[in-house]
Amino acid sequence: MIALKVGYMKGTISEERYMHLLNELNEIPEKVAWTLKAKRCRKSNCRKI
Amino acid sequence: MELAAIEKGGYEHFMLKEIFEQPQTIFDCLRGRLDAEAGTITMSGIQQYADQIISANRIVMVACGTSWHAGLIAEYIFEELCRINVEVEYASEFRYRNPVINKGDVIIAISQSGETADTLVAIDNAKEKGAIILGVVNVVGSSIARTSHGGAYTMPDQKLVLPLPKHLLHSLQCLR
Repeated sequence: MIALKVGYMKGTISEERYMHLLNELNEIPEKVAWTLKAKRCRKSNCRKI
Repeated sequence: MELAAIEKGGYEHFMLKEIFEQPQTIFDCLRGRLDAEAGTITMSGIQQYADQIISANRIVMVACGTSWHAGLIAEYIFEELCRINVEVEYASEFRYRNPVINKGDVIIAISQSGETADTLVAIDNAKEKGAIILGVVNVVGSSIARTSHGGAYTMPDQKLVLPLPKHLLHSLQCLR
């Protein structure tokens, strides 16, 4: 968040990229949850095998 | 502190519980700071030193252990997004040598507890040389939080010591 904010204020990233990264950052909790869930499924499948 | 926070909550190990709690805690870290719809990031502890950070020739991240690893990843992100030269130093090395610190350099101290002795001494030395000190810590009112000019708390609601995976992710969320 600090780097993104500073980069945007400094003008080293475009508004378009800033908004894209902001949305990506916002989606991280959901993506981590998805990854953990997927990993858990794989683990239970492995145990079955 | 809720009782659930210090219990395993049905998980086999505490570490497993901490790993699976990560989505919620990352969400908590972003909550109130990041507004994706409005396109804003609100970090009051950084805002007042924004001009100094923007005009800085160099950022030095000082940390130990997991925080140091978070710094190594953040180095890539800062250089990519901010185009500022970034160095990541191990606090125990940094404090015992005589590093070149120029006035206006920005030092980012990363520590979970905010009490890491080496990091604390390192930022004290840098502060004497005129550097701007920003702290990225978890514990409100900790020594590093008090010594720093500004900074950000990783997840101030959490009162327990954070294990490695959680702290790494929280530090990165703040720094990114």
